[in-house]
Amino acid sequence: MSHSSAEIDFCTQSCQHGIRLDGRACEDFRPLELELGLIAQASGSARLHLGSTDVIVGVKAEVGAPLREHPDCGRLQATVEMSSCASPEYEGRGGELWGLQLAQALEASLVPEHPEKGGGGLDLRSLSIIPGKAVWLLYVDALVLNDGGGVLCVCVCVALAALSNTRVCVCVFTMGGGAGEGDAAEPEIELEDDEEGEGGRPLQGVAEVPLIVSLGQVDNAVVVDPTCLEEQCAASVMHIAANARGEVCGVQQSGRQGVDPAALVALMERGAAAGSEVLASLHAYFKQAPQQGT
Amino acid sequence: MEYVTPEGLRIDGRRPKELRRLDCSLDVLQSADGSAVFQMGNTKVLAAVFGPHEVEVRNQMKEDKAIIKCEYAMAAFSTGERRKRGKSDRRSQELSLVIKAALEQTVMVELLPRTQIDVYVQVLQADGGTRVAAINAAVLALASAGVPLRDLAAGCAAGYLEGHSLLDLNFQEDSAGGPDCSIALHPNSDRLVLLQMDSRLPMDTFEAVLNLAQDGCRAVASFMRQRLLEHTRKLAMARGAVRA
Amino acid sequence: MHHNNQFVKKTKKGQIRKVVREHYLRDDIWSGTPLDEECEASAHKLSASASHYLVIDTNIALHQLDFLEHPAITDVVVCSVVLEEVRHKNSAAYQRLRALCASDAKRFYVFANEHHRETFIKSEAGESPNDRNDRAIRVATKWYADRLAGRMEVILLTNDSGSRRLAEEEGVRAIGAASYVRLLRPDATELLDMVAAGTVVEEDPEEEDGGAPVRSAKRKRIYEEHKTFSEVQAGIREGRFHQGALRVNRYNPYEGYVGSDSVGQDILLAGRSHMNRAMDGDIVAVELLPESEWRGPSSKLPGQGKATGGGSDAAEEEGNEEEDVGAGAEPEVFQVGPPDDPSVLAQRAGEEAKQPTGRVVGIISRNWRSRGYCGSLKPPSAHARPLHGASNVLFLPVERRYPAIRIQTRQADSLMDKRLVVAIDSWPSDSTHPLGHYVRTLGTIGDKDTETEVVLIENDINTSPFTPAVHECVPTLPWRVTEDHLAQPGRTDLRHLPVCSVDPPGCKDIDDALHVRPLPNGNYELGVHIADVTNFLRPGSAMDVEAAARATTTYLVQRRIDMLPKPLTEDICSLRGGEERLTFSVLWEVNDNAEIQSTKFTKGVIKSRAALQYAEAQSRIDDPRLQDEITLSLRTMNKLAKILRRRRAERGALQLASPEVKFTIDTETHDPLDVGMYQVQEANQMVEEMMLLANVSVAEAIAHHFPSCSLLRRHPVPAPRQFEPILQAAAAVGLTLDVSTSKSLAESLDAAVRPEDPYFNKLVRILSTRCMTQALYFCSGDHAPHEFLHYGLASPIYTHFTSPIRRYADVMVHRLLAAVLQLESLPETARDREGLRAGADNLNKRHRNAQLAGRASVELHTLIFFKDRTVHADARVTKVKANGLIVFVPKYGIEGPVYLTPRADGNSNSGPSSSSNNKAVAESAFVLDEKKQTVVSRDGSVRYRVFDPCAVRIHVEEGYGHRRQLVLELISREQLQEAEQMVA
Repeated sequence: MSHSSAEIDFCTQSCQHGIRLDGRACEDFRPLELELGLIAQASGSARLHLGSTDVIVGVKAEVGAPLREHPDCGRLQATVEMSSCASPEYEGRGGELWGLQLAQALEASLVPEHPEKGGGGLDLRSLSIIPGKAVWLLYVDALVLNDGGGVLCVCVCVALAALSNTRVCVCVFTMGGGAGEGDAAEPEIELEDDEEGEGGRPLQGVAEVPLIVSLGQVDNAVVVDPTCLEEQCAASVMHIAANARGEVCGVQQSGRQGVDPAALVALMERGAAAGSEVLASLHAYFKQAPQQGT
Repeated sequence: MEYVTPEGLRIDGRRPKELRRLDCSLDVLQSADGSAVFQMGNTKVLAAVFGPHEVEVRNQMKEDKAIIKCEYAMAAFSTGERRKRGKSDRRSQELSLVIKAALEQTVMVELLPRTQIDVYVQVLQADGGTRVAAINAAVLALASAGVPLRDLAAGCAAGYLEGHSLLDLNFQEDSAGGPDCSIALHPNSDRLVLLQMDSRLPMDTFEAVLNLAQDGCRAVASFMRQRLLEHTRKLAMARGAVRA
Repeated sequence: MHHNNQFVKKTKKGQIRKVVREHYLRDDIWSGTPLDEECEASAHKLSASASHYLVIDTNIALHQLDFLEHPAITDVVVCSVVLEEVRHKNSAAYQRLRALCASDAKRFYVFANEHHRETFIKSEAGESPNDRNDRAIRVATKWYADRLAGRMEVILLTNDSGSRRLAEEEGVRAIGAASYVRLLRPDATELLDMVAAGTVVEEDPEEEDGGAPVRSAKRKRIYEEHKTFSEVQAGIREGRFHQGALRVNRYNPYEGYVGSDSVGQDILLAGRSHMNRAMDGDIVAVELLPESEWRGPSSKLPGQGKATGGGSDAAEEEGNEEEDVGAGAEPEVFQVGPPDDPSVLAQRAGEEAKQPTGRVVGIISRNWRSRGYCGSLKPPSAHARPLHGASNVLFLPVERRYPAIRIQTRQADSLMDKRLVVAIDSWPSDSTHPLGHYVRTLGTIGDKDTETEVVLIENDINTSPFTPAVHECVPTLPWRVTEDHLAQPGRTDLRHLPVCSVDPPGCKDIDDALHVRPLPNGNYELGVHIADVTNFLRPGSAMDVEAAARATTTYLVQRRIDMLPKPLTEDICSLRGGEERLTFSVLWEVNDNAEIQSTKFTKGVIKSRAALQYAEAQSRIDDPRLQDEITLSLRTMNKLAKILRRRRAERGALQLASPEVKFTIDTETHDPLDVGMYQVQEANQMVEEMMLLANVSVAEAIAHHFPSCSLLRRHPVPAPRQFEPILQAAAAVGLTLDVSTSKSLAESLDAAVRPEDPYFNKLVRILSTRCMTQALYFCSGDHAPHEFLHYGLASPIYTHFTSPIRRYADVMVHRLLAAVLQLESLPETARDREGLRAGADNLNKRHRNAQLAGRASVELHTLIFFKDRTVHADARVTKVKANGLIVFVPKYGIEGPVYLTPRADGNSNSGPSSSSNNKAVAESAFVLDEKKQTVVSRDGSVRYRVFDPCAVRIHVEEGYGHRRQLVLELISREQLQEAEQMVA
């Protein structure tokens, strides 16, 4: 959605005065509204409204083969679909490219760079069922129903919420007979007896996943969690991935005019602080949230 | 399989002529001009309406009426088996056309010449009957967008399994491979705007199934009407037009 | 109210998937009793005046069905969770439980507890599905108890002591099945017999704490424990074990064979411990014994003492009650019929050779009959204690391939002379015999109707009357051909043709009619007209479903069990003389040499000029004074048939023989008055030839149009080893049979004549026929075209088209042919291979059962016939053994053992018992020469060789409690009257 130059001007000016059009202070996030477990068929699901930005994430767990380079690690695959319901511009293949970009960023923030070493995201090692043969495959599918700015941040938040809500069942397996048949034997996976019912175990390492916080530089002001309009006003937008301990795990810049390296460190610190704060409140919420809504 | 016990209960506990639980909410999206979520059982469909607005592609413009564009999409997580099906797979395209055809007969297109109305349907959960749920969601979204309608179009399916006519099949029943008849009805004028049935079925059975589906449509329509009235009353109150 | 049921399941593809299904909870599920004011009147099922209501758990429903089916058990609440569990575990049990719930008299009420708002429960953390379901049943019981408090007692019936304890804690009265009968049902002590075995012990209060294990600890283990499922699977994968279906020796439950692809040969299982509790039809896992322990099957006539049977089995040391009933029994005289299944043939071949021998290590699936086994109690031995109270008795199934079954009964005395049905419950490793329970009494042993009932049950033949839904499919009588029929597409008016039918006397279901007439060009028009059954039997109708399940009409000596309702069988479809009937006709143009010029299939309408019997047709053909149209037609037909027959013989068709006997039945008592060989006349052969011609023409037509989904009939070429028994016997008398092709066999059979014994040729034919397997129906897509061959008929392709009134195969073929002619489309089930294969399997099974039942019925009538008679008859030796002969009596079609030595008295027969000393002398009195197939007495005075004529006295021996047995005894041929001497 494009805005007129008058609108941009007005927004820019107000930011300089520390007053944002929706009434927030510069460092404030928009109000966050979270709904857990709304997609019954998914292994985990959540829907998040951040201001007018609205994203649903469904997580599905399936058993599949591991990647050759990480035979002992589970896999995670993220997709982001820009629903046409968000805007007619996403009709047909309209939102495809952006969806791909977002998916890449989302996946990068959920999964550690070296899954075999662990740390810095979901513990994929814990998702191995039969090393080298069968692992859990997590599909994290995000559906953007409305884009009011900060889609990436919301995608990560809601993916995190959905993963916190995800349960995978415990499997036992039997290997085919050893002698005489060589390695042609295919492992047989069975559900553990008492796993027929609901439930299962939660994922490990959800607490390690960093959040992505966007900071917009609007002239001299820095606004946290910019809206669409503020993103258009900003000379540059920094996307800072920060974990619960306030450490910066990644950073990316976008925007029209570039960023001044001198201001960078301060920006990152601000982003990291904001990120850890939001994460802390999210995790606190997950702990007390009921497992599955109906 | 035994889809109806001799005691007359279906697998999910319904009787043959019962609908699943219905739910809907209106104006659920920020950007759209009208939107609605319609839920029947575990089937949950979101619809968004943009417009009426200028026709995007000039040569598609109709001098005497509005054109309707429709897109049906399923979320990757909406089905039991995860499947990324994009918007352009054959089934989605077919459904887009089916829904569009039903809506074109429902919207008073002649009142809105030279305009375009976009209807986007997003399936959030699929558990049988998505096409009729999609029509119901779309009609509610159109109503909430203030698009003039001839009548509510309410959709419902009915099928035939093991000698029983069953209303509103869920996925499990739908997968049994029996005949499934999907219809949408204008309840006031009593006209069908969607009729699909793709199995061989003796005429008298078909009639029974069709009658059952029509009864289902009427029940769905009265539910939708009631919810629309409530919503409108709420809006009117918010604007101070009426008092509580 | 609504609740989502979630669970994780493994899909067919092996994927693990979360499944979510809606689950609605309702307020309108009633209790089904008039005592409950809220219950809708339409739902009333339980009686207000019952002494109590029972709620059953899944185990009771699965294992105590005979108990539940007893008329004394009424007013039972069956929770939907129980039905659901039973349906998953055992579909046969589910059908029976459903039938109980449907019966008005039983007052079984289905309570949909899973959808009731107040009785639905969620599973708790860590609770297994089983525990959850048991709890659900208790919750439902409690709900009933609270609702009816003070008005009706509600009792939970469960044999699970854990569940009983929990129920008592929750304030619900719970009781086990056996205690229930003991404590609460003094009115029906018979019930106690029907409580399935295994639970009785568990029930005993003294053993309550220890439960079942107490028993095992006390008792000695007799059999090796079966390996677990995963051990068996692993063993099969590694090639240590071999999997296959067990076929048990017809006369010995402790000898059997397992066909195994992995061994490439049948594996012999001999003796109790090696059989390790496996029974006929079970799918078992077998381990091969070391080659040094391989052996061949026993080659003596059994009945000469116990040692012949199971060898030195540990089981025999158990005391006299446990004596080896099966293996020690002697073979009975039986009716010779068409060949047995291939399995039996295989075991007849190469009897002396050692073969792979194994032992059962695990049972993959049991083949226990849910309909139970017919039989009678083992008579008490002379020194046995009198029976009173609950006693353990052995039940002997009539079918000798099944072992004796131990049952507990309080009515042993009154049941001694009765035929019973008993069901098997279990076979623990510490029990010599399987444990079972009494199901019902059929009647007195030896009574004709009772024994006929036994025959029908044993062969799983459905004798229940047709349901009203089936009768609704039958057109009302009187029925006649109308203009509408003539106007049907594809129907030709053939009423002008000189059609007639030729059948055996008394035939009411006339399937076929024939005609021949000369054509102007010098050729003949030959027509075979078959009843158009499919015009009335519409695919998928109730009648069609029933007919497909029955698959064939079963002919017993005194009774016919129809595949189709009587009005169709005897009237509407039957091509009666002088009546207009609908047909499916085959019309050929043939030349003077019976060569087919053209073939035409059409639906038609005929008016049969006459329904002739074979004898009538024969005399018309033979009487030169008769020159009417029908007679001329028959005569021409006979001429053509002879040419066809000769040509078929030239191609190598076999003239097979099976001894068929015919009873003359008293019209009032239905007892057999006389019995004799069935005489085949030329007219029979003429009709047979025409039917063959029609069947072959139709087979070609349908296989051409539907190469992969035609129903055909094939007769496989017998493997050379199958002929070994006859070759061995023939060689002993200096006769060589060339079995390399059917043609060479036919020729050597023609040459096998003995001038001094006119019956010799027939006997050789009978014994050769017995070496062959039976013809089978199959789906054309399942076999390569060269396998379509019908060996006996020497026809490359064959099917059944000509008897649709009494065979469902012909119905299927009619539909195929109608589809070929584009008159009708094929029904859904006939379009794919799967459906057709399933159909063909059922046809084969039912066809075989009907044959066996027919034979058993003849056997039964033979026994009744000889009840008050002693007859001398001409006989032939078919097998020689060290201590006796097997002889065949052509006149009565029976075969059985005669002993050269005095018979050891294994059973408590009325005959004089012989001392063991006597036996030892007898044993050594004869010498068997296997190669020459001769048995000679030591002094050389008595000598018998295979095929030798001999004479026997036939009489019936009365045993304990009406047990009768046909006995053959050798007499000298001089004692035979002239009239009894056989001519060919």
